[in-house]
Formats: sequence, structure tokens, C-alpha cells
Amino acid sequence: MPEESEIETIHAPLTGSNVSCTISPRFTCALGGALATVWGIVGAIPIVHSSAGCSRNLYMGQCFGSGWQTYGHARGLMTPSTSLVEKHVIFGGEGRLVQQMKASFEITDADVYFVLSGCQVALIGDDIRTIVDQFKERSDQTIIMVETPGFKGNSYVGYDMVGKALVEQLVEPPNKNEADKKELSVNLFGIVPAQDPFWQGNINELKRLMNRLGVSVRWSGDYDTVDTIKKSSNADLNIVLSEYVGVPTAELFKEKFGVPWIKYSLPIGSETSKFIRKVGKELGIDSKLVEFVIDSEEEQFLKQLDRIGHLYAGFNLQRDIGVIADSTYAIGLIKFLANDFGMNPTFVAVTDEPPIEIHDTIRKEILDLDYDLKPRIIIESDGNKIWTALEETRPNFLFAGSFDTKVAENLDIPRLSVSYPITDRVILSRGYAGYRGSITLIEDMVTILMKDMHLVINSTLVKHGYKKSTEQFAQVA
Amino acid sequence: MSTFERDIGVFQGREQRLDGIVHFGGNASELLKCSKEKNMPRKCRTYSGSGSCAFIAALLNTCAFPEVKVLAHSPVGCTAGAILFGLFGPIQQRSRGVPVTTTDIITTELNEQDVVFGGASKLEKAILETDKYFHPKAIAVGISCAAGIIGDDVEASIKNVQSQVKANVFAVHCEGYKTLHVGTMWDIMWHELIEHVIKEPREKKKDTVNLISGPTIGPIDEQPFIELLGKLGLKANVILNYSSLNSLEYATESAASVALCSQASHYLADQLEKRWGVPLIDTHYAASIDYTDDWVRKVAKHFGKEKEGEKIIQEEHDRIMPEFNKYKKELEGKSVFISVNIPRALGCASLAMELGMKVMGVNAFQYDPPINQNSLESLIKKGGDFPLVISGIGQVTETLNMVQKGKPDIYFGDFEPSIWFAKNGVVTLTTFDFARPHMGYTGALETARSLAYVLRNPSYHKKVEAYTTKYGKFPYKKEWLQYPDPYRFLIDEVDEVVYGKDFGINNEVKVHA
Ligand code: SF4
Repeated sequence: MPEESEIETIHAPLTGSNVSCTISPRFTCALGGALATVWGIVGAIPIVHSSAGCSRNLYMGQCFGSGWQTYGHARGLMTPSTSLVEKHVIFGGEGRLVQQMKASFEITDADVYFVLSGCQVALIGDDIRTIVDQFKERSDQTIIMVETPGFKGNSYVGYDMVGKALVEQLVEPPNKNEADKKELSVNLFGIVPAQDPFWQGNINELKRLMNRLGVSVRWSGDYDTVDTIKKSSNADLNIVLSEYVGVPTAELFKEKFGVPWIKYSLPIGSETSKFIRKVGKELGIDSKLVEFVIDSEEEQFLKQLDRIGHLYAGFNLQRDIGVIADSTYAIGLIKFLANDFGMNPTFVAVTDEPPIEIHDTIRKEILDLDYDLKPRIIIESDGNKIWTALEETRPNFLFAGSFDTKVAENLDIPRLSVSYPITDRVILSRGYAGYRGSITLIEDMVTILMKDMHLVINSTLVKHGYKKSTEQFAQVA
Repeated sequence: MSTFERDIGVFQGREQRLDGIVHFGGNASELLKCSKEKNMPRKCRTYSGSGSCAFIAALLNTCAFPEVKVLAHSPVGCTAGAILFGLFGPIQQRSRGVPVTTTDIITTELNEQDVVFGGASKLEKAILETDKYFHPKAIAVGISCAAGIIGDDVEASIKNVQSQVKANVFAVHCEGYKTLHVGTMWDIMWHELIEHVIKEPREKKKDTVNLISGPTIGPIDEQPFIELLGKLGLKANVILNYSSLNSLEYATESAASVALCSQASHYLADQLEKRWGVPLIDTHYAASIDYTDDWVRKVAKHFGKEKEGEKIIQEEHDRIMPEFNKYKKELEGKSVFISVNIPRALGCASLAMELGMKVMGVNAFQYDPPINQNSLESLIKKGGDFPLVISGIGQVTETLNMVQKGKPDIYFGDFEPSIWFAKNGVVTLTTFDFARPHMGYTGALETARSLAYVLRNPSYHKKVEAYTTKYGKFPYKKEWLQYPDPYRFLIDEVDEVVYGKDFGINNEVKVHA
């Protein structure tokens, strides 16, 4: 068993320590991120030690908020919860947890159980570890323990809490003789299920590209089996698709199993070529193969860009673009829109409360563009501050979440929901990563851009001191 | 630890105040007997799924009044579920033609430091900021589990800053662990709104009735009832979510209150009666023809308009019965399992009985003798006894066991359990979906039509079932689904071992089938 300190080392970037409140936060708590991650594992059942509300509340929050995708072997109401009430808060909830675990093992059918805990139990000081250890000793169930009190951080932090716990408690040492070792393989980290509403589509596109390089993907976050995770240490490389989310997991992975890791924020569009080259180099793949794959992918990618040519050139689709999203998406989207699609990014709000040490890296990554473009960047999770800044900048197309509906409406900015929470569209297999994802993004964006042309007309007229044309003619009618 | 009594002087949860329960399994007649003898079973569950907590239910329903800004004194996760209101709100508002507002979630985002050093100063700043940015009529400060346990004195913080803000600031004592009773959660919200929003009457309006709606009752059901009251010469003061507080502020002026759902509105109606003498007309959940007749009769009688009432009933029967009977022919003999909040569950069961369907069982969220006894009694009289499980918020543990031994033809109930029935090969119809009326005469007819339709076309449900059986698996073991006693996890509360850590694993981890 790992030492206490080893599991507890992930600290939230002290969220909100110098602010008083956050309006419309774009994530849930550590428990929420942990649940979203666990629900994404085949046959996994979380046993949640907390008040009755946490797990169902977080299910609604994370899953409905990611474009109404509801997933998980035992999701929502079905997630076992100790449902603590006042007496447990007073006398302790340990007895209740023991009861609940026993009953869960009896009646539920799982490949792996995760014992997750909420704020309440951390504050009343239940000794969950001892209980789980007892069960581990006496039963043949696979049990992973993760302490995930909400005040320790947000969904992104919760993701790594689970990741680290899995590396500590489930992943087996590499098996050098494993037959399939001849094939190169990787694990993907940093894409948080549901917190990235397009997680499945994104992971699938990355898998497709890896497969084209002759590389198989093991632990990816998208419906992995217990066995896949167990054997993930046989991978040759861990790829972290974010500037910091997934890094603690990859770090621990390296420490324990010696698997190296690289990070690359979600590649979208031609950025994918650079990503593939980097992965190819790390894995020592024949550069001829790498270039062949890139070439054939780019051909398809460029073909689609060509196909939108008439609309693009005919209507001057270039716009001042605003992005309100987490750091991973902010970097990926801006790079694609600026480097491939001629857009002028003017406003970026990074909403995931990244640790302070990497703020500069994020800024640098966003600004590292092929052309001389200088969007205003704020790293901010508070809706109020984001909207105030947006109002000052007034881009004329906005990639954001559903919380930004009202402000976009007020400012007459056409908007596409791409970041959590999304309740105004349904997302199942759609993805924006890679070459194919970027074309999907263009389809989605331009559809709205054409449909909501009147908003741009309005906002431009207002900018120059005129009345909105919609109001003018509404009056005449 | 805080209790309701200590916090606000008078208020108690329904568990104490109304002898309410959230844990029971048995026959409906058994519960009725306990209820009549004032000897309610006190149980708890040794296995539990996820449910609702006081915080979410009370607070997020408060969020549904756009003029009240909810400031959650909590870590960041607790408000996650408010996203649902981001969907409900606009649908309700657009369909009523009122401005669409956003549900702004505001949280103090308590972090590790705050839970050690306290979050009071943060909260005070947050109140000022909320007032500055939103200029709301009122600010409801919701107290989360974490804030409750660390013992932040929210009332004191509010006192400190109240003079600096325009909004009326009040605390909602809804720490998540306080109760599993959804009704209590509603009461907590109403209690605060009554204390802080309701005004003394300026005049008495003798033709106005408070028609109390709820968040999962929409305009499609309100409209027919408004018009129905109109036919009785009465004006409806509709008290609803996602709308202005005006209708609530002067609810004290109305001649009477009548609720569409007695569960959610109970505390409000009760207080209006006790404190302002606005009598509550006690009705069933009008989801069936009988219950709607009864609803109309009681309201008509209250205002001495019996004749007009009978006329309406006659007209409505003439209008819907021919078509209703057509669906009845299709549905007769089919079995149904019902799972939803108790008044609605009983109303829906009453409709099923009118359609000649067999009620295989009912899973209701809670039971409060003063509110639900009448409906339960009348239902048993109408269609006989049936298995009844009371489960907090529609937990499926017992339910799925109950339906395994003889699958119902159809599941009719709340949206959350539906998927588990679908995976089990049962077609489903959600009781409330915004688009289909489910109350009154029109609701009974439309529901009958939908029940008949879903039986005719189970294509989606079949696909979900196929996915589960062929490529996935069910979260419950077969041994549990076929276990003879569905109520095995319900034990007497006094038997719960709160202190002990009886692992007893060696033989007990195995299923005793
Ligand atoms: S913040 Fe804490 S109490 Fe709130 S939902 Fe998350 S774990 Fe539960």
C-alpha cells in the first residue's frame, strides 16, 4: 500500500483563495471529475461515501452538462452512495461505509470498485483507508480507494486523483515477454471524460491516427477495460493531451514503471501533423511512414478546406474570434482557427484554473501562432470577470459554453458551444480533435455563422453608433 | 451539530413535523394501516443508491426564481446539478412568453484553506459582489455540508453585510446531510421564501385562487387548470418557478389555495392557511379522470359553485371519453410499474386503474400521513392493494428486483429510473416531459394515447436492451434481481450499527441467494 502522503499529494491550485466567489464555474469538484472518469471505465462501479446528493448532483452536472451524454455502468441513481445523514456526521460514517461496501459487493456486478469520498467524510475524519484495506484483505474484489473531497480541487484535479490511484493500485508492472510487445503502444492522458464534452470523439480520432502509425492505444480514458489499464505499463510512451491535466498521472507512471511521457495540447487541424511528428520521433517510427501518414491525412484535410472555398471566399468568413474554454481547448482552437482557417483571435478566457506555475506556458502556447496575431488572454474562471472582459473586446464569433448564452445574446455575438457546460446541444460521438475533428468544427461553426449573420450586422451597426437594423425594420412593421 | 430547531426557531423536517418517511417496503395497505394508527415504520437502508440532498433540492429550486440569486456557500461541486435548470428554465419561460433568464450559479468555491480557517470573510465579500453584479431582489445563501461542518456562522456574516446591500439576504439551512426527505427539502426553501418574500395582504380578493404549480409541472398543464378555474368564475394567481416573485408576494390576498402537486407546495399552502387564513383546498394529484373530477368538485364546493362544477365535469367527460375508451381497449390488462414523487405516483396509478391496467407496484419518493393518506386510501379502495416501496428519490434497488419476477409491460414514472427499465427490456413513458399534458382531462387523454403508443413502438428500448445484454452488462447481479425479498436492505432504524465496524466479510460478501 502506498503511504498516506503519496496519494494525497495532488493539491488543487488553491482555487479562489483570493477571490470571494465564482459565478458560473465551468467545472465541478474533485469528486465530480473522479466520477466522470470512473463512469468512463468499463464495468467500474464507484461507491461514494458522502451525502446522498453529491453523486447524483454531480452526475447531472457533469453528464447533462456535457451535451446530455449519460454514460457509466452504474450511473446516476444507480451509483452506490452511503447517503450520510446527520447522525453519521455526528457519530462518524465508518459503520455506514462498511455496510454499504458489503451490500454493494453482494448485489452489484462490477469488474472494479472505486471507493470515492466527499467533503463531509474528509471533514468528519472517517478512516476510509483502514476500511478499504480490510476489505482488500478479505475479499477478492478489485477495490481502488481515492479520497476526493470537493474542496481539494475541481474536476481536472479529480481526474488525476483517479489516474494516480489507478497507477498506484491497479496497473501491473510491465511484462517484458508480453507477446504483443512487438507492436508499439501508447496511453493517452489528460482528456477528462465529460469535462471535455467531446472526449469520445477526440479520443477516437487520436486512436485512428495512432493506428495509422502502427501504434496501438492502450489506456485512453474512453471505455477502457480493467485489463487494459492493468497492462498499460507495457506502453512505450504516455501522451498527455494537456499542458498540465494528466501530468501528475504520467509523472507517477514514469516513476513507477519508467514509461516516458510527452505533452501536447489537443491538436486540431494542421497542428496534428506536428503532433504526429513529435509522437513519431519519440517512438522512433520510420520517418517515411510518419510523412506518408501526414501527407495522406493532409490531403483529405485540405480537400475539405477547398470544398468550403466558395463560401469562405465569397462571404469573407474571417471573423474576430473569442474563445471561452479550458486551457487545452483554448490552445487547440486558437491554433487551428488562426493557423488554418484565417480567423483573427481577439479574446481568450482560460477557465480551468490551471496551477499558477503554468500560466506563462499557456499564454506562450496560445500566442505561438504562424501569423502576427495578439489575442487578449485572461486566465479566469469567474463568469462575471470573463463577461466584463468579453464586453470590452467584442469579438464577432464566440466559442464558449452554455453559460455564455446570455452575454453573447446581449452583445449580438454568434456563438457555438464547445466547452463545458453544454446544454444547448447534444453531443455523442462528435469530436474536434485531429484532422477530421477540425472539419467537423468548421461545419458547426460556419453553419451558425451563416445563420446568425444578422447578429454581426447588428453589432457592427451598433459599434459605429447606429441603431440595430432588426430594430429599425421591426418598428416599420 | 445544527438542527432545524436551533437554526430558525420553529422549523422542523417532515420526519418530525408530519411523521413523514422515506424508507418503506411492503403492501400499500400495510403502510395505510401504520399511517392511520399513527405508528409509522422507522426504517433505514443498508444499501443505497444515489439520491438527492437537502442542498440541491432546496437551493436549486430556489434558483428557479430568477429574482432570487442563489449564493452557494460551498465547494465548487455542490451546485453542479443546477445545470438541469439551465434547460428547464428556458423551456418554461419561452413557453410562457416571459423573458428568458439564466440560472447564474454563484459559489464561494470553498477550498482546502477555507475549510481549515473558515469561509466567513469570503462569504461576506461574496454577498457584496453578488449584489453589485446582479442587483437581485433577494440573495439566498445556501449552506452546504462543508460549510455546516466547519461551523461557519452564516447568519452572523449576513448581519454584518446586510446594511451594505440592497438585496434582502437570507440563509437557507440546507446542509446536504440534513435529510433524505425531498419534501423537507422543499419546505426548507418555502420556509425561507415565506419569511423573506411574502408580504401582508393589502386587500382580500375573493375571486382569486392561488394555483400552486411546481418545477416539473409546466404551462401545458397549468393552462387547462387556469381556464377551468375561469369557467368557475375564479381568477388564478399562479405561483410557479422561473417567474417573477409577484405572485408569491401577495399570495396572502387570495381567497384560497389549491395545489397541482401537494408534495412540493405543502409547506407554502399550510403556512398561508395558518398564518394568513388563506384556506387550502385539499385535492388529489389530478392525473386521472376521477381525481380531476374530485379536484373540480372540491374547488367548486369551496366557492359554492357546485352546479357550475358538475357542468364542467359533464362537458369534459363528453369531450374526452370516446377517445379515452379507445385507448382503454388497447391498454386493458397490461401491467404497469409506477415510480415517481408520491402524489403524482398515486395520481398516475389512479389513471392506470381507470385504463384497466394492472398496477404491479409503485415506487414513491416519500410518504407523509397528513398529505398522502387520503389519496392512498382512495386508491386502494379504487383498485385494490399493490406493492409499495418508499425510496427517497426513486432508487431502483428494490424496484428492479420487484419487476424482475414478472416484468411489467410498461414503466411509467420519473425520467431517471427509465433507462434501467429500458435496459431491462421494459418500454417506458416519463410522467412529465414538458410537451405532453399529464394532468386534468386533457392530460389523462394524452397520457392514455402515449401509453398506447409506446407499447406499439418499442424500437428504441429494444436497441438499448440489446446493447446491454449483448455488449454490456447490468449493474445488478442476477442473484439480486431474483432474490426473494426485495426489501432485504430495509432494516429498522434502531438496528443500524452506526458506531461498529463489523466487517464480517469472510462469508457475507457472497450473495445469499
Ligand atoms: S463539493 Fe463536496 S459536498 Fe459538494 S458535491 Fe463535491 S464532494 Fe459533494
